[in-house]
Amino acid sequence: MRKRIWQMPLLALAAAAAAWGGTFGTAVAIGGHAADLALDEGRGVVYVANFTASRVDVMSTADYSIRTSYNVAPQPNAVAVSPDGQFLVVTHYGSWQPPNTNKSALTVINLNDGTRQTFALGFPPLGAAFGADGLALIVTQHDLLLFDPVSGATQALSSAAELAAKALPVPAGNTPALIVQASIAASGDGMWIYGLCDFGQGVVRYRYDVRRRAVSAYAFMASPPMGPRVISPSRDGSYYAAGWALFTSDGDLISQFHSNVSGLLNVGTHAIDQDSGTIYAQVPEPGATEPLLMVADADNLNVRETLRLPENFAGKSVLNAAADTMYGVSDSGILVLPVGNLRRAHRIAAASEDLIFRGNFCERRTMTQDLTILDPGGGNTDFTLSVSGPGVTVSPVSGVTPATVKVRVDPTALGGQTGTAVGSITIKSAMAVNVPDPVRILINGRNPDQRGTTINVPGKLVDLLADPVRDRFYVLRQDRHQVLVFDGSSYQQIATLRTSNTPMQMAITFDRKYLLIGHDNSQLLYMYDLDTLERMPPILAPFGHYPRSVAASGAAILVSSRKADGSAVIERVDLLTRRATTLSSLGVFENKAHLGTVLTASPNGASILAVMPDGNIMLYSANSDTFVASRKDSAKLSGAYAASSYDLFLVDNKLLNASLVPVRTLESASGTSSGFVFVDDAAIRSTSPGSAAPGVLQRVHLASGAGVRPTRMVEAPLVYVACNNQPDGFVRTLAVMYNRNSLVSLTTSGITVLPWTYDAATAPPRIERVVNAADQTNPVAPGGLISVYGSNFSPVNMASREMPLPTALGESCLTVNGVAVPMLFVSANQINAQLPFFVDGNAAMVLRTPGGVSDNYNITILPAAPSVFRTGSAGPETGIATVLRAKNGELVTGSNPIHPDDLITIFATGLGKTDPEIEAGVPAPSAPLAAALIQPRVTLGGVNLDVVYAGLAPGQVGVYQINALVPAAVPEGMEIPLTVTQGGSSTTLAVRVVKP
Amino acid sequence: MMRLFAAILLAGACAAAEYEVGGAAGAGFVKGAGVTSPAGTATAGFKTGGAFGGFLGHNAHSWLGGEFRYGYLQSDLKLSGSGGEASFSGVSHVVHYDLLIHPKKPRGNAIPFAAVGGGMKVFRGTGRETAYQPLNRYAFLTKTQEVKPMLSAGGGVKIRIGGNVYLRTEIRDYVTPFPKKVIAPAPGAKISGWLHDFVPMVGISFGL
Repeated sequence: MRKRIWQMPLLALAAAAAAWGGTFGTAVAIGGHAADLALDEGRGVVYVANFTASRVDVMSTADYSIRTSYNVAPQPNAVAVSPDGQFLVVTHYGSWQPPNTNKSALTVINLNDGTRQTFALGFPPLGAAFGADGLALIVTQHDLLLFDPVSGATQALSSAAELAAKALPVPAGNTPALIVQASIAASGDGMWIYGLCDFGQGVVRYRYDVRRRAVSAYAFMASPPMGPRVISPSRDGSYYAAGWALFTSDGDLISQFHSNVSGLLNVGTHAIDQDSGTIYAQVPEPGATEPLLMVADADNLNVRETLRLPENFAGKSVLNAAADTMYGVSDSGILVLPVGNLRRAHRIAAASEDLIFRGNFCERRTMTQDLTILDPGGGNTDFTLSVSGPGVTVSPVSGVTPATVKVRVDPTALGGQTGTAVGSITIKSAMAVNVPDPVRILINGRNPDQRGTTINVPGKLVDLLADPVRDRFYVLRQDRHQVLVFDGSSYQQIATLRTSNTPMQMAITFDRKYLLIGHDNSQLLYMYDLDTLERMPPILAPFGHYPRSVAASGAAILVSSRKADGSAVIERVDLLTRRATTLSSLGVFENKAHLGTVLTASPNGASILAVMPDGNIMLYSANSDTFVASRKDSAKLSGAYAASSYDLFLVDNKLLNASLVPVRTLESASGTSSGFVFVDDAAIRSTSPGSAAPGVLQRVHLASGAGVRPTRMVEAPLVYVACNNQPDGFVRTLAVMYNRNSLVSLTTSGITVLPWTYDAATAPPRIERVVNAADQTNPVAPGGLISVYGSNFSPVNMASREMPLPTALGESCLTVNGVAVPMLFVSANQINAQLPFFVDGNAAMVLRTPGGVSDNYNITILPAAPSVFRTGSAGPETGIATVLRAKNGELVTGSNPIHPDDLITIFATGLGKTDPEIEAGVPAPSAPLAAALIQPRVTLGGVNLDVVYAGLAPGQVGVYQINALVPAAVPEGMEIPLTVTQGGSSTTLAVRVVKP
Repeated sequence: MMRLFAAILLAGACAAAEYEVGGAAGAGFVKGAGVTSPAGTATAGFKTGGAFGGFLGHNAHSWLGGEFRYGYLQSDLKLSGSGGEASFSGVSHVVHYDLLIHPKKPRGNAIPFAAVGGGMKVFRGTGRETAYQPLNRYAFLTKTQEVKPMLSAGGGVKIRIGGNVYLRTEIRDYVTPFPKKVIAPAPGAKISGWLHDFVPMVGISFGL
């Protein structure tokens, strides 16, 4: 027997080693079914209750070998080590069907001297855990006992109706978790003990306060069952995971794992590392075949990473004190995860979530972008790529990290498509232990008549809201549990707000101070102060209610909550108590809502519209403080919804009056209803004929319902996509900025910005001057940054942070000799861009905008035209030449003069072609450096400087740097000429030189 | 100037009868110079700072003596104007020879004396250079070194406190042209005037 125990873990280790190639952790087989485990770090062992072999196996934490086993009474189902490490308490599950009798017992093993005592228990035990007071809480099917391992005394804490557990014998295939159906665990500080077990048709969660010796219990129904049947408290017991959800100490549901959980009691686990805010969890979906561990945020369960496991967990897990190793009950016995060494494990990821290819009407040539494949831990990990999408190829398709692959898109493969096609790159690896996210490929091929500028925002975007008093708008990113805050003028993201699990919809309180966020997988309604962007205490919905949709009128804040049983109700929020209360009725109507109900308030706070996919519509009046109208004129509704301040409402494509009577039906030929906004007494709507086609934006004549000047958008607005067995639902994808400068729409690639006058007739552009962007003088060179001045360039101001730079920005497209020019910025009168590297000599520049095509503007592109940027700033001073002293990394100025022996760096543009060649719009590489083909000469006061490097600045687009050493012989003075000469061009600026 | 210096050296060569060596410490008080620029006016100069030094003297005649002196002055650079101030660490060194004139027959133990001489002053800016310096429309406080000729004038009293030990109290005015490299006027600005560094000191000397 002893020999077999020794052999089994070794075999298991060998098997695990063979399986190391895509899985994380080591499985240790114990030759039976593990029911529970307890970590004894002082002795460097883990005690494993081997339920079917009637022993407690002792596994070394050093080498995962089982060096000894305690033969104990039959069916050990729980083990717990006393806080002082002296005692191991083992409970024995002896619930047998008649004619057998109860054989339940409790064994105390003195770990110091090896003595043991076994006590009979009146009822089958479900679990055991020690509190900080040195007493063990024993939970049986009928009572809770406090057991003193020193004296052997037992004290009844409370009794209970029969807790559910299966009597033995059970059919084959049952595991301890399916038999006992219970879990109990103490918080890391031993002050709280939490338990979870079945009770009749429901579930009981209970909490034992060790300090007060008080028990409180919560019984509830759960569907699917609360599996995995594991309870995992945080270190201080302030929250815990139970089954598929995360609860506060008081039992409120903070967050639950993904919507689609299997509820299997015997598959999965979790453990919380409170210090790092991390939860390690396996909570499988129905039918899941691959064991996967989620590494998630321990509050909103946002999954940071998914790891492949060698086998399924099957019960309790614990982390060691350093939180770098996790031990859990598994199919084979024990699964050990070195979570602290995760950085050293092979993993694979792409550096970008999305790659966006913007073809445009200027050119239809193959587009190429680099994609970096890396191991987040810095290792060398193999990978293989597969692509989907029209005209998308990748090269190479396999390799070892770190690697940069070329992704190419042939726009001709798009055919006549003028919207955005979506493809993907899937990453696989034989070595990596993680499951990498695919890279989304977005390919747009617009025509000149299509309006709007897309800004790439990765992820699943589900709601859009413009701030009524701040120049901002908010986008709800559901897959990362985030609100993305964008500036309403620059359209740049300025903040990210964390939400709870699966955010669904946003609302702003009527006083304009707070942002409210409803969730599908949390009992909490999140709240943010919009002035400080700080999170406020959340609002709690009744237990089992999930506040999904929220709207704020002048009188009340209402939420539509999904109930755990699948129904839905309307609730009212009390901001003082931070509670939501279910309304007893909705005026004269029953409080029965559809699961997919969404709410929206009129801007003047007079009403809240509730729309439901089953065709029901209701109206809450702030003046009456109740629901005043309810109608059902359609069998189903879907798409846009909006409420105006003028007693008009919109659902789908129906305009409703103040009594919710349909008064107009909007045309549906332009596509599926997506977005709708009332703007004062007018309106704008967006529709989508298909996800890869351009969307249509049109103003709506409210009196007649007729569309006015329908205009094609650059890509399709988002539409409701059936999910969770809900074929119909609502989306909010269109918003108008509070200053009426522009509109924003959620679209395929993220967001699309359109000027308020998107449908106005525009004049053709006119180019009046082209200068280099550094010192605004005329000479320009290949690869140099330029500024183009003129008129009617773009209806919006737009800066791009995308890399490579887009060749169409703000609906404008610039070409030089027919070659598209990457652009950084566009406005009505100025464009900043980078000249292509392979165009020089006399060239014609043309700008294409929705207003037409400019006349040719002829320029001469010199082989080299160095010019130093005047974009430096120091204190309040601006416009300083970008010459830096390496000694202090600061700009050369009168107070920071050049000294002999200084190494100076001159940032300039216009140094021309490089070796190796770089594509325009692409950041310069750091290895190898892209050196200027024509070497510049630098003089200071007529004295030659030693040029150490001259070429593109790594990571920059169109920016060159010259590193030069200053000799001792330079003259000193307040205005010494620093001259850069390259080819036939030169530029000079005055700098101060001081000698010691 | 050169003629005066020759006379001082000659006086030193003649003195051989009695020597005196000592050290003194005190503080330097600088009267700043005016800066004018299109932006307005400011004052450039040095902050008050500690001073110490040593000297070797000789009494050639009953009423005339001379001494070589070295002095170290903590002289942080300063620029003030428009309600603001900029400063920059700095030091200066003075090396000079002074003639000492005192009464032929002093009464009691106190020997008053007047001193006049010349030498040079080394100004050094030692602060951290930064791209932006407040008041840079007037001048730049610079990390560099500059040597200027110097006139020294002053007086004091030596008090015999026992044997050949003297307690000295004295004051000097070190007059130099303004060091326009260390405190460089900004383009368009102008610094005018001489720099007066008043240095009162107390010291001990020993007759040899």
